[in-house]
Amino acid sequence: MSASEQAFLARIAEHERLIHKVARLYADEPADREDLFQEILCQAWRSFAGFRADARFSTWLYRVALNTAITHLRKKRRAGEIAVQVDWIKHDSPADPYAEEVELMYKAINRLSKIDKAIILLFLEDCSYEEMAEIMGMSVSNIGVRLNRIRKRLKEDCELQKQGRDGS
Amino acid sequence: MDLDALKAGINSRLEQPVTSRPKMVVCKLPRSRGLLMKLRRNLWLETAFYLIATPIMLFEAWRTELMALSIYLVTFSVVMTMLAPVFARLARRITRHIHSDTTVQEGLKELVDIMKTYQRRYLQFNLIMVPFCLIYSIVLGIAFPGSDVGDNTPDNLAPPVWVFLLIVIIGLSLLMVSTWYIAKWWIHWLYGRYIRDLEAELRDVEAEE
Repeated sequence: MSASEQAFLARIAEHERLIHKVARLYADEPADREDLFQEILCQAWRSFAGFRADARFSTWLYRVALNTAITHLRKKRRAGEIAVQVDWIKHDSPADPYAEEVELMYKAINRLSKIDKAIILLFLEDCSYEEMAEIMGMSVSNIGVRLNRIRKRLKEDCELQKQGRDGS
Repeated sequence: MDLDALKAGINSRLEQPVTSRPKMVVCKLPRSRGLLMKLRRNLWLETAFYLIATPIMLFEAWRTELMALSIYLVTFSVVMTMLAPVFARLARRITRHIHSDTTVQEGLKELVDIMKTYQRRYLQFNLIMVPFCLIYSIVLGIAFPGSDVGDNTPDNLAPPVWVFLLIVIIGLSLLMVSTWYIAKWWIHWLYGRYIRDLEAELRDVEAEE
């Protein structure tokens, strides 16, 4: 294995969870997620030569991963192939007081547009507005305004889900 | 609910591994199934075909004694020589895009442009090549008639020239129009929805709030 391959793998091992997050957020079905995960890895390896050592690796990897996820063309499944949705299995312990709210928020995030998903993902990573702007190619002020709008929308969506559940 | 706790909850949900495959080895990375890789492969194959076919056609044009075939082959060699750099340029542009490190907005803009250029080139290629082949064959057939072996139609029963030309013109016009629409439908069926989605994402990321 060459030195650059080793360097790449070592970096990826450190930030692998980042790719899992993007793949989980942008693909609904397990098979699609695996495809997207592999595609992001391939794309990262192809672009790795252009990575500048002075840049933050996570910022660079987020750019690559989000670019790939947003433009990824989903593979057409053959007729008869069953899409299994296994995502809604409860992963939190029943004693977790926030489990329900996390579940509602998770569903609400899944309903956002691809661009809004990217912004909320970066927010969850505690990226600064400047970093978000650097990854997305948007102005810092636009990121701020947009994030407020997304948060408001998520809150409303969670409220609606709660009302729907209480009503039924 | 505390925002940090919510963030931690969502993050832990999102961070669950999406694949149970062992750690990949770079030299054995699976071949990308990405659309751009396929487009690039097709463009390079087309370019390679043109580069190989052109000298063969030129050689055949020089060797043959049939004037019509010779003109036909030389013309196609010229068309292929003109098309090869166009396809190669687009393939190189895709390579540059694949290896680039851009913001989401720049990446989307470039990809939309690449896809639209590909669509345009594909339509131009079809619009030029298919009817052009037929028109050229007929014109050359008339200008350089071959042997009359097998044509036993008496001259007084043959249709007048203007009827023949009218049928040819109408037929070719219909062919050109149908080729245009079929090619347009086909390319739209292949990539139309994808391009529409990309344009929507681009509008979304460009929108100032």
